[in-house]
Amino acid sequence: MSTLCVNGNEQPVIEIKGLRKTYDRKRYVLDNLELKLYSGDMTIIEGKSGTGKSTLMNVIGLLDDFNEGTLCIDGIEINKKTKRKYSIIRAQKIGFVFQAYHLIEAISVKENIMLPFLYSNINVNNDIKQRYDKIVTDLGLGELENKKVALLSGGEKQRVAIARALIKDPKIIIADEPTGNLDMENTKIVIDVFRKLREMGKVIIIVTHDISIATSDDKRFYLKEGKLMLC
Amino acid sequence: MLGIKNNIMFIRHVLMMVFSNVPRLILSICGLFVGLLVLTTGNILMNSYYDEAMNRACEFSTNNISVLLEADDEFEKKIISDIDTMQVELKRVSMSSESIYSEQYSNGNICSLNAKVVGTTSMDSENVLMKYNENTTIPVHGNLTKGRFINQNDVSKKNNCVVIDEFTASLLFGEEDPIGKKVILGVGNIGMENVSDEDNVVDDEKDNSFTVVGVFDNYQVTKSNQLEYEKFRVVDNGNIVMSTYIYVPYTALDENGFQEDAQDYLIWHYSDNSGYEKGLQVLNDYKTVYSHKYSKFELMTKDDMKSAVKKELRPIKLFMWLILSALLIISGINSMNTMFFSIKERIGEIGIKKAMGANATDIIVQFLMEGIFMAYIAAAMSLIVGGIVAELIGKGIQSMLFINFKVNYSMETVLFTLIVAGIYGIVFSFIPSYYGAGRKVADALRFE
Ligand SMILES: Nc1ncnc2c1ncn2[C@@H]1O[C@H](COP(=O)(O)OP(=O)(O)O)[C@@H](O)[C@H]1O
Ligand SMILES: [Mg+2]
Repeated sequence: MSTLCVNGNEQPVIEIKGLRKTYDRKRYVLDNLELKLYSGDMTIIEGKSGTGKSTLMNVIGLLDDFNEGTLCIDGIEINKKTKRKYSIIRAQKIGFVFQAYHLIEAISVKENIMLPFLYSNINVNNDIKQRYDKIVTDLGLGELENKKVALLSGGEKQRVAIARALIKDPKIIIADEPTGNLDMENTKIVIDVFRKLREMGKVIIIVTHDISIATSDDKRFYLKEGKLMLC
Repeated sequence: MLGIKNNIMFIRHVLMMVFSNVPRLILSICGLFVGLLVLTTGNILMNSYYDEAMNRACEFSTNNISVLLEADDEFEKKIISDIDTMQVELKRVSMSSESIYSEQYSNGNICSLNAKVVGTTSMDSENVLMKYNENTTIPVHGNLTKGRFINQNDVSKKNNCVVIDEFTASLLFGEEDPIGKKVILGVGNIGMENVSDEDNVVDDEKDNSFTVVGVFDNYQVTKSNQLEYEKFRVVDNGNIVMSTYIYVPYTALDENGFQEDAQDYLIWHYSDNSGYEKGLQVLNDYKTVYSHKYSKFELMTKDDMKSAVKKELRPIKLFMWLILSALLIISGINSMNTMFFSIKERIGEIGIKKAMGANATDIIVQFLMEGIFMAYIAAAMSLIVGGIVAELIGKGIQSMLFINFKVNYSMETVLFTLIVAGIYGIVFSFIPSYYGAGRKVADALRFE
């Protein structure tokens, strides 16, 4: 059975009940899935290839719709069919890191990191400029700022993607196999960043095959037959 | 723009995306450019042709009413004295042409100029006649460039004086001052030597020469003969007979026996609109009463002339428009094709932007801006290149076909191209970008 996580009386940041998702109306990739995540949770989701980990991340990240059940993000109930207005929730509350980086190769590191502000009402003020400087320094991107993304290595690209996910200071960070294309050294850098973020009270969901990432503090789930099981 | 406060950042980003893939940019612009170039060039040429024809018609002096009348002298006198006597002027055009210039070139070709002698009651109002086409002669404005026009004094004294146009003056007298020179009718008529002496006795009684007192210019009159003459000099095949009108006092015409087979133009000049309206009313009434009695009673005003020209040009204009719109649609679909594949290729970019908070409108706005931007680059290019191409074609038409053709690069043409480019940019990038923006984010990201 799926597992419910209880963490005091606090309201969960992500709450999923009875979630079902099918692509072909024959097989349910996610089937009666339950999940509750609270501020400061670092969640690691494992599972065989093709079990629906990316599908789950897309649903939580409002990048895809679902068929049955309920999904609440930071107290806002999401309809089954993702509609245009969710782009605002996406823009305000969620940062994404993908295995394939998903950066715009033709523009510079800085422009990629600042991309989320093109689609928001937030003015790029001094606070944001300071945040940008801090993120860039923390991730060791200082010297790459004006370089075109196409010219970067895999590890550098993933750090840029993380910087972009953090620039709007979102509550939730969704990382779908963020270290899948990285070597040991870069994997360690990326995971350390996530750990720091967790301390800042963010909800972090990481999909990974790399068991070495996890520590005893993390919530570890295994996705199988459309359900999440606590490891 | 919805949800986008950081407009400048956004515009900067759009421009960066436009220039991020130069081959794609060039290809898209080329597609748009070809369509817009054909449109611009075609439009300039079509408008120039139209304007030229219209200009000729518009030479018709404002507030004039011209009546072509074939009636007996009694009736003519009556109509002249009945309706605004002060404003009316009679131009009696001899039907037969008199040769006033003839020259045989060394290659045997003969160039001659025939004149129809126009007897006029006065030329104070500077009206001259122009053959608009085979069937239509219209009164147009002539600018005096030398001497004077025929006046009342000439008419009452039956002076043998003549007013000619610039081209005629240059052909007859070259660089010399034409004032005081004589225009001799029947010069160099082929076969004149063969006329028997008995016949010449009669001819001797009338004076065949008129003294030039004035020269006038009218762009259309001068230009058409000049081009014909140039064509003769350049193309050099066979003989050429040009024709013109020369103006003598009405009474001198009488004296010289040109009366019998003449065609009469009665021209009323009005300086004010209300007089014109009234005159037109009265003349129209006259026409309804008398037109079936006389073989010719044709009334014409500037408006009639303009609408006749418009009617004449309508089929040509329609045909040109059909061709242009067909070309426009073809090249439009071609551009849409390019845009569509460009957007398909950029589905990943769309997915990324949507994951970063962009909504469908943001995506459409971006591609619309790109489309419009490229369309306006193409428009600017086609306005420059189209102007040059049209100018070259116009020159070619003028020098090879000897048709009076002045290329007219009007504000309208520019505006038209800009409007079409805008529509191009919007329509042909909206459809593909609407498709692109409608993809689910998860699906779009899978493309990457
Ligand atoms: N857009 C889609 N259309 C149809 N089937 C899909 C689509 N996306 C994923 N799937 C299927 O859903 C299942 C789960 O895919 P996915 O979530 O990508 O798995 P994972 O990320 O765990 O490897 C797979 O069987 C996959 O083929
Ligand atoms: Mg996956």
